[in-house]
Amino acid sequence: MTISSDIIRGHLESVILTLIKEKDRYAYEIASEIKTRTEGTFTMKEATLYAMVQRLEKKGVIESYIGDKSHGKKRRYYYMTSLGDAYLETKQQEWYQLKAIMARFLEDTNESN
Amino acid sequence: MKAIDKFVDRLFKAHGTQNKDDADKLKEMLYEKVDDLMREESLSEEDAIERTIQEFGDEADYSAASLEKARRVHERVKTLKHYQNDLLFAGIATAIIAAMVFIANLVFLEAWFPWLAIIITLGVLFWPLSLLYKLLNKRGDRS
Repeated sequence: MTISSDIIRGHLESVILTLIKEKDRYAYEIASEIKTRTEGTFTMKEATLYAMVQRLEKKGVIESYIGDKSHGKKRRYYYMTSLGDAYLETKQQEWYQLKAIMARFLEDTNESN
Repeated sequence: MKAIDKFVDRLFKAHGTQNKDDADKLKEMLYEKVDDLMREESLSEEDAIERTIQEFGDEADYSAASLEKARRVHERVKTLKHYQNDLLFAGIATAIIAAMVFIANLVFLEAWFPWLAIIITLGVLFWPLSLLYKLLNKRGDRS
């Protein structure tokens, strides 16, 4: 089953920030990592991903530097700022709350059936 | 990589609102993907470019993601930054005031224990504490 991008849209920033928080990454690496981790059940449109990365950088949530990739050309790597950490924290809290609310409805429905 | 340049230039012309810096960074992102595809999947440059452009999506996807919620995120980040600066300023100011009061207490009142300085410092401490409270509240605010 593939996930509609409409469902996950509000949390795409959190996904990107979480991956960048784990380690500095370049844009296509983020796209590949999402594809790999979701085993193809969710593929983020690259236009969306690249635009979001640019937007997050403009807001000061992430910053970038040019770094080396082994056996390849140079890459623009993105890393989290302290502001990014605070932003991701609020997004995580938002997610836990949403998850708890949805669980109340959907899990209760399953139990009653 | 001329095909990538042309593709991005066309995209930005259609988009109409972005600057050259954004276009250059987007080109850079696409070059990186082309390079990865050539090295990791052994594609020819032509095939890698074609696949990169195909998988990118269209102008509408890029525009939507660029503008969507941009203002809201910007406002929130700006407010958090503002609160952090306020807290930093209040913290430093409190430390300076406390140091001055302690010195004044010990030098001018010649008291063996700086009761007055402690009381004044505790009072001033409510300034950064109230700002910390506001910052934590704002971080927890999900609206």
